[in-house]
Amino acid sequence: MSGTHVLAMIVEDKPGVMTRIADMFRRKLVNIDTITVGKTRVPGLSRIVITLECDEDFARYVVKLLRKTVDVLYVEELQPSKSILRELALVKVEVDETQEKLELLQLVNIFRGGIVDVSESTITAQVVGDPSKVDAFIKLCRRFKIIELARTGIVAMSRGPKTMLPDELAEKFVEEEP
Amino acid sequence: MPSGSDIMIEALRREGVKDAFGIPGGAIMPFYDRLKDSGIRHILMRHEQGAAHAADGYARALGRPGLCIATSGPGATNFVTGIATAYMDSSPVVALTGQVPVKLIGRDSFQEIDIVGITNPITKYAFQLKRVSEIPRVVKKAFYIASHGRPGPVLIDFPRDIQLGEIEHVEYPERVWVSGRGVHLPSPDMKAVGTAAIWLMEAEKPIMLVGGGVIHSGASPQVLELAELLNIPVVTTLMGKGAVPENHPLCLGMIGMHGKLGANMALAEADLILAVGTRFSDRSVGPFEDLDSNARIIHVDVDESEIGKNVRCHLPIVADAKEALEALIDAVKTLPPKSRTAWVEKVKELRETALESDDGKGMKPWKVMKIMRRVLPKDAIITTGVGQNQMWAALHFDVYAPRTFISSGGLGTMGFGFPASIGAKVARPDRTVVCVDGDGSFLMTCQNLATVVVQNIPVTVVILDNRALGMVRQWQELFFNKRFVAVDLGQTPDFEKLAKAFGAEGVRVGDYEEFREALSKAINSDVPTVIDVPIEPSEKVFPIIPPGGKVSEAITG
Repeated sequence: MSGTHVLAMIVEDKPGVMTRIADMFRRKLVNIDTITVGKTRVPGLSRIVITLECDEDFARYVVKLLRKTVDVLYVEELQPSKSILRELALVKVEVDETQEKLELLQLVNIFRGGIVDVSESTITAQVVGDPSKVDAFIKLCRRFKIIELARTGIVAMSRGPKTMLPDELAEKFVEEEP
Repeated sequence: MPSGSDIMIEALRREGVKDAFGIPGGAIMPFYDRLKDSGIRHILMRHEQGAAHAADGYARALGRPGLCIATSGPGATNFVTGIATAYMDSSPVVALTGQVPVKLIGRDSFQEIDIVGITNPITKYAFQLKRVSEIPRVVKKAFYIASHGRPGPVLIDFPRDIQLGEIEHVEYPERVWVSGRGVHLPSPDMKAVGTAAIWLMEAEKPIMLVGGGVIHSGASPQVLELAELLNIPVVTTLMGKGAVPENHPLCLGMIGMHGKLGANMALAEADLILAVGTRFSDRSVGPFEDLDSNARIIHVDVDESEIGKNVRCHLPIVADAKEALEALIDAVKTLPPKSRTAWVEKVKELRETALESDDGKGMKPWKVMKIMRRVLPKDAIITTGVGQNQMWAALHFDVYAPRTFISSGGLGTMGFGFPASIGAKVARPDRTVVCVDGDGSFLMTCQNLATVVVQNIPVTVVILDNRALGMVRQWQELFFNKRFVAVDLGQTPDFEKLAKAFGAEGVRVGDYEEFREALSKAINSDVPTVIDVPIEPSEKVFPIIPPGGKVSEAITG
C-alpha cells in the first residue's frame, strides 16, 4: 500500500554524498517529495530527512540500499506517530483591501504563525508545524492571491530518549580535513 | 620532497599492487613518469575499455583488486563499460584516472570530464582527490572499499596538479574507517542458522543454488562439504560456475534461460532452496514460476539489500557465505541424518539429461568445448565473450575449480573475454589461459592483440566463428519470424591473417582433429595464438527458454 514514508539518516558532510543518495532514488524510479539537510551535533556529520510516496516494501528496500552506501553512518525509517515532524512555510499574499488584511492576520494567529514581511500590496506570513498543519494553512490561504510559496521540507526526529546519533556512533567517526 | 605521484605509488605498493593495466595521456603524465621506476609492472593496453576488463580479469582470477589507469576525458569515459561490468559482477577493480588541475575543474577544460559523476551509479565509491596530503588515506580507503563486504569497483580521480604537488611530511595510515555497511562482512544470526538446519533436514527435495558470492567468499569447500554431508544436489548461476567441480555427481550445472535441463528441472521441483551468494537475476530464475511458493527459500547473502529484492525469501541469513555455511554444517551435524532415496535417484537421472546432437553439418560448438576440456589442464582459466560463445562454454565446458571461469554475467559485455584473459594471465602466469570468444565479441576488443604480442602474454583465443551476431540471430530466427537484420558480419576479417598482422599466431581449423592439435600447440607455446573455428551461422544454443517463458517451455532443438 502506498503512503508517505519518512527516512532519516546521518551522513558524512562532504561533496558527492547528496548526489549518491539522490541518484539512488532516481535509479529506482522514485521521486523524492521533500529533502532537508543540516548539520548535527557532531562536526563533519549531517542529517538528511527524505520523504517519499511509496509502498512499505520499497521503503524497507531503500533503507537497506542507503545503509550500505559509503558515507552513510545510520539510516532509519521514522514512524510519524512516534516522531516529531516539522516544516516551515513562507506564504506571500497579495492583499489590497483592509478587510482582506484583517482576515489574513486572523488566520495567521489561529495557526500560531507570524507576519514576517509587509509591503504596500503584500503580506508574507510564516507558519511552522506538522506538515498537515502547514498544508491546512496554505489551503486556507488560497482564498487570497498567493503570489509565492516556499516550504522547507520536513525535518524529523523520534520522540522520547532515543537518538540516531548516540556517542558510540559519534566516536567511531573520524573527521577528515575538509 | 615526494610528489603526489610518488606518494600515490608508495600507497599503491602498500596495497600490494604489482601490476597495472592502462594507457597514459596528458593529465596522468606526471604519475606515469614516477611509475617508470616504481617496480609496478605496467601493461600497455590499446583501448581503456580493455584496460578495465583486464584489471577485472586479474581481480577475478586472483581474488584481489586489479588496477587500471587512464588519462582524463576520453580515457576516463572509455573506462565506463569496464567499470560497469565489474560493478554488475561485484569485482574489485580500482580505476585511477587523470584529471585536469583542480583550479580548472568545472571550467570545461581540455579533456576534462566529470568522471566521478559519471561513475557514481556504477562504483561502490568514487573519490575526487583535491590535496596531496589525502592520497595515502584515499588509496587505503579505495582498496578497502573495493575488497570488503560485497566487492565492487572504486574510482580515484587524480588531478594533474595533485600529481605534481610536493609535501614534506606524509603519513600512511595502517587502518581506515569507512562508514556504511557496504564494507561489512556480517556474521550469521545463529538462530536463523539453527532454523535453516532444521528446514534442510525436514525437506524431501532440498537443493543448493550457488552464485558468484560463493566464489568471492572462498566458500567452495563449505558448499561441497554441506552438499556431501546431506547428499543434496547443487545448481549454480552463471556467476557461480566453478564454485563446485562440475564433474561432481551432486553438481547439476547451470540454471537459467540457457540452463541445463536437469539443473532447471531439479530447481523447479525442489521443496527447499538454500541460495548462497546469488541475487536471483532474471536470467537465472526468471523462467521459474512461483519459485517462492513452491519451495521454502533460505537466502544467504552478504548484502542485505539482496534479500527479498527479486524473490521472496522465507529465511534470510545476512552473512559472509563461508562463515554462514560453516555454521550451518556444524548445526546439521547435531541433527539426526535423513535419507532421501527418491530425490537422490531423481537427481542422478537429471544429471544424465544432456543436449548433444550432431547433424553432421560443420563443426559443433559443444564438441569443440568437449575437446577443449580434454586438452586443457584441469586448472586452466577460461574467459568468455558474450552471446552464444559464452553459453556454449557455460553449458559444455566443465570447470573444476573456482576462479577458473571468468565471464561477464550481469552486464553481458561483448568484448570482455579477450582483455579479461590478458588480466588473468598476468595474475596467474603459471596457468593456461584461454578465451572462448565469438567473432562479434572478439572484434570489439581485438586491438589488444598488440599488447599480448609486445608484452609477451601468451594467451589463446578460440573463436567460435559463425560470421554473425549469433545470439541475436538465434533470437531473430526463433522469436522474430526469421527476419534476419543486422546480424550478418560478412566474410571479413580473416582472423588467421588478423592475428598474424599483429605478430601473433593465427590458425584456422577445418575439423576437430585440427582443432585439438592447434589448441595443444598453442597452450604449449610462448606465442599468443588465435584459433579460428568456423561454425554454421544457423548453430543455436539449446536449451533456450523463450523470454517470458517457463522452465517447461524450454526449446531443446
